[in-house]
Amino acid sequence: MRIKKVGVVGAGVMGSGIAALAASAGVPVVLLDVPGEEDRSLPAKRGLEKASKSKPAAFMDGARSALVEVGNTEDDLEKLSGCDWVVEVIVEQPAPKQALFARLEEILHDRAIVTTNTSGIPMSVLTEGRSDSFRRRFLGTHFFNPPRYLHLLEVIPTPDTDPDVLRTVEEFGDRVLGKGIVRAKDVPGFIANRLGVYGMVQALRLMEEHDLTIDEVDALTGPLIGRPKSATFRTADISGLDVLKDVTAGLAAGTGEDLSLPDWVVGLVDQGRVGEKAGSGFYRKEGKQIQTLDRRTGGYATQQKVELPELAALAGRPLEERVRGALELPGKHGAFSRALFARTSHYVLEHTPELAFDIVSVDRALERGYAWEAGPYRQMDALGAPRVREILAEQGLSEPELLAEAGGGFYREAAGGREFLSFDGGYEPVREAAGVLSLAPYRRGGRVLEENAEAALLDLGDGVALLELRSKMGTLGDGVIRMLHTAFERLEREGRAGLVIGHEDPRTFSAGANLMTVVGAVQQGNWKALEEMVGQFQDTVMGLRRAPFPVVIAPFGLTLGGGTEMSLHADLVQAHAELYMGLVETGVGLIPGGGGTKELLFRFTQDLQPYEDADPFEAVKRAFGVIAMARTSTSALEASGLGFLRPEDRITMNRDRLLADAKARVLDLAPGYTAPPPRTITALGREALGNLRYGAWSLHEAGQITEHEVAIANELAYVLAGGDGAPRTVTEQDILDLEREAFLKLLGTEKTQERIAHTLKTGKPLRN
Amino acid sequence: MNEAVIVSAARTPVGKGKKDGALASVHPADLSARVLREVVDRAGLDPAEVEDVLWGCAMPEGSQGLNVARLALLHAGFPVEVSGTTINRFCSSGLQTIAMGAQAIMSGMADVVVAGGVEMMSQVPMSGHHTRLHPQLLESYIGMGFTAERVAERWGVSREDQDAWAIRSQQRAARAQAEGTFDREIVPVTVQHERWSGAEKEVREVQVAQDELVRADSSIEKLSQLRPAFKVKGSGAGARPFAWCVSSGRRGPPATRRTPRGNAPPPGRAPSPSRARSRGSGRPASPGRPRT
Repeated sequence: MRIKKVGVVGAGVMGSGIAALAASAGVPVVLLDVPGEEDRSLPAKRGLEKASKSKPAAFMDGARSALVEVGNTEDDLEKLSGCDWVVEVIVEQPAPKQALFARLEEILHDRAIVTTNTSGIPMSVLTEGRSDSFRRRFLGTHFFNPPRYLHLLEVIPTPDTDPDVLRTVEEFGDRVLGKGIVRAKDVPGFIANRLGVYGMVQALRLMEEHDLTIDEVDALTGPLIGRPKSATFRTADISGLDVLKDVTAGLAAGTGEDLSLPDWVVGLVDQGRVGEKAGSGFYRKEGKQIQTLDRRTGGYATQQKVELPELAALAGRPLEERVRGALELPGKHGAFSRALFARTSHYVLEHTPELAFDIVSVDRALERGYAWEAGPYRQMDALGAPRVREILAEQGLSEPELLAEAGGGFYREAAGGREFLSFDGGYEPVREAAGVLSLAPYRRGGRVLEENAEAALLDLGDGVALLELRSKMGTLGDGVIRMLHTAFERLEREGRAGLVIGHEDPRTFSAGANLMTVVGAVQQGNWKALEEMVGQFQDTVMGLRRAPFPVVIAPFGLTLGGGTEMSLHADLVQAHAELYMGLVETGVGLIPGGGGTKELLFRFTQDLQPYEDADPFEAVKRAFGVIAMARTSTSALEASGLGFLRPEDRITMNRDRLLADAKARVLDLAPGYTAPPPRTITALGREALGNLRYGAWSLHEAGQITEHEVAIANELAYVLAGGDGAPRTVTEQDILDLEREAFLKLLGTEKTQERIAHTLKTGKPLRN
Repeated sequence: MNEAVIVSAARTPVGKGKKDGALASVHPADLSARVLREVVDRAGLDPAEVEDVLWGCAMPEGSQGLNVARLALLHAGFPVEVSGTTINRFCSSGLQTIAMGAQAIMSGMADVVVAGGVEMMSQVPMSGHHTRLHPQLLESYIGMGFTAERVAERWGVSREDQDAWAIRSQQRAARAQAEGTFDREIVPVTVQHERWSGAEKEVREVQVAQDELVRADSSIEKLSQLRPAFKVKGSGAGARPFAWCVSSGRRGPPATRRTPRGNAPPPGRAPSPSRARSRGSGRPASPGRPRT
């Protein structure tokens, strides 16, 4: 069955977030909540409104909120009759949930699937009194808040759940909603929260035993050991201390384990200091300064950076070394790290068979739900089983059965790929969902066609090659450019099907051109080299268009400047839904000089060409607005609205599928492929120049932009107008030449150089 | 030299420029025709007696393009022998037509002239469509808001002064509206409000007889909270609703004619063009003329 319409019952933060995600994916949603007094549907309306205004945004495109129909559970339950999947996200008590399911059973069609987002009530309790048919179509779907941004979706089948129903929900969650699916067993807290919360409670207790401050714990439990920057306490502040208290209480009740929080934490909740939403928690912000709680006094003092030479030495090292190093830190820091590692590892090892169907699910749950760089089993493998045994013994903990079986590690490489240790002691292959392409196997053996410090060319099979960006933040330096030219030459020579450009970084596709190189040449006054550099970048992006084979680019996350320019020149973009794309050159006092200005001008002008009387200046104005204001999308849908993506470009919801989808596009395009022909347009010259310059003039008159920003805007205007003459026919190269000249001219100004230096130093733009 | 007098005057209500404005979707030729007809009827004139219709319009393009004066008079049922011309002096276009009509009568070139104007900001945006500005004349295109900021700065008009002025104006308008002061000059306009359901169109006729945008509930407190409308650190915010109010509606046409031959006293003297111009003291320091 195909899920065509979704029902969400419960319009709280989670429910409206799920509704917003489904609507963002283009699926119509019915969102219901309890009735209000005057306006019967007010609670659901409020939920939708909050989701529309939430930051970060719950909707990928504000207009998609029109796909959500609101109502209340008394008058409008009928609206759910057309839904193929209804997810329950109401108050966390059995009776109201049971009552709702009883009514849903009457209303829904006989193939409709019902799931619950409960985080602790056993499924068997929730389906009490329901028919066999209902039970076959029932399971748990546990989203993480906020649903759009947290990748994990735990799926909890019951013994009665029909395998087809399970597959339908997993497929929909994976492909349409873009979530990373992990199957979990029906136990309190499932996998991620059960293990994550345990780790947090242990950290709180151990910090008292080892007399550590909040700043110290966060320094020891963050990126050092492959966890997010928010580490322990900042994470708690973001999710809310009240939530932490409720979740620990719920888990303790469900499991019978002691998960009580220290008194000082409970005290904070009682005082309403529940974290970010309350303005203070473990941290608070005073103006621009971050202050940390002193748990003894209850007061706040300026955050203290933990200065340990051993810590500094580990920064930037591979995870394996960092984890090992953390455990060997001197004094109380090492003692804390070892104790925490021992307790959490022991707990994970002991409880995995109870929570999960395999150890892979445990790793994936924590990687996807808590953004760990590597899950607990991968971390233990990094240390090696003997060292893990040693640390457990030191802490007086027994050796769990799974560890005893893990002679050769929890994972191992075999001829057919990676294998994991199963509960019965044997090894089984790690299975990716069909259509997920992960690069590790392609970086081995004969599959690396070319390689340099910034990029590699990998053989993805079926004649498709991948240009993998390996530079820091995906910056486009000389190595990437050389690799692209090598790829052009080699793919053509070998008659390959086509090229994918992409990589696997979790956050940044490309921060654009390498500004350091540019600054170096400016400092040497080597303008000839600079002109060549810009010219070569232009030729390279044009090469993407001219190549006799299809080039599909797969951008995701942060994609700026030159990264955007590459995307604009690919034959097709297969974008991840989370795409933060923009031509932000004006921020550093430049204009897009790598074809970005040209491409938007050509694209928008050509869009208007079929309309006889359309004002061609509208196209120029649109390009000017997007570039001058450095507009950056907050999603792929928004990137379409800004004109960075064309209607034929495609969006992948699930990041894990991005490269596989891009490869599939190459194979779609390859048969009978011909390169797009060169284009010409009419540039408006003086006719456009006055309008654009007036725009810059009036922004300056309004006090919104500086004089140098007027100068930048005027250079941009000159390029987009195709110069200051009469309207004329221009080729792509004509505009590229103007782009290059304007870029270099601005680069020669003191103010632009100040901007670049400032951005390189602080990472922020300078408005001079 | 003949004396010119105004013998009849009428206007439509002023409507909001937004899509939900009561008059927003009416064609400007319809609105114009409605007042043209009214103003000659009120004076007991035969339209054939009118020698010229002078019609002001600041953005004479789009729906108010071509020669909207001529189109409107034909639509009003005036005979084809009556001529019409569209006059542009931006915001003072309507005023300008009255001056020009008076000049025609005073110099003996015409006996009866209808002067007035139309502006539908809901249909033609400020500065119009398809603009092509001269790259060397940027400051000459300065908009009314920036001009106001410069004037305020030069003459030391504070934000408080402007807000107080705006409030007084709103309160006066509200009182006048409540007391029916405008009723005599306003020609009610019948508008067709449509509602579609599939291919079915439901039409409701609505009489619009009052100005929109008069805000009786406006207060100094509310105005002082508005952010500056034109400049980041500018003073002109309170002025904003008024700018829209004035320009988004349409100005009604007074009919101008030579001193009547009968015994009736002349209802009003036509303003002299030179006086009208001298009031435009808010000229900016720029080489250009304020765009209104």
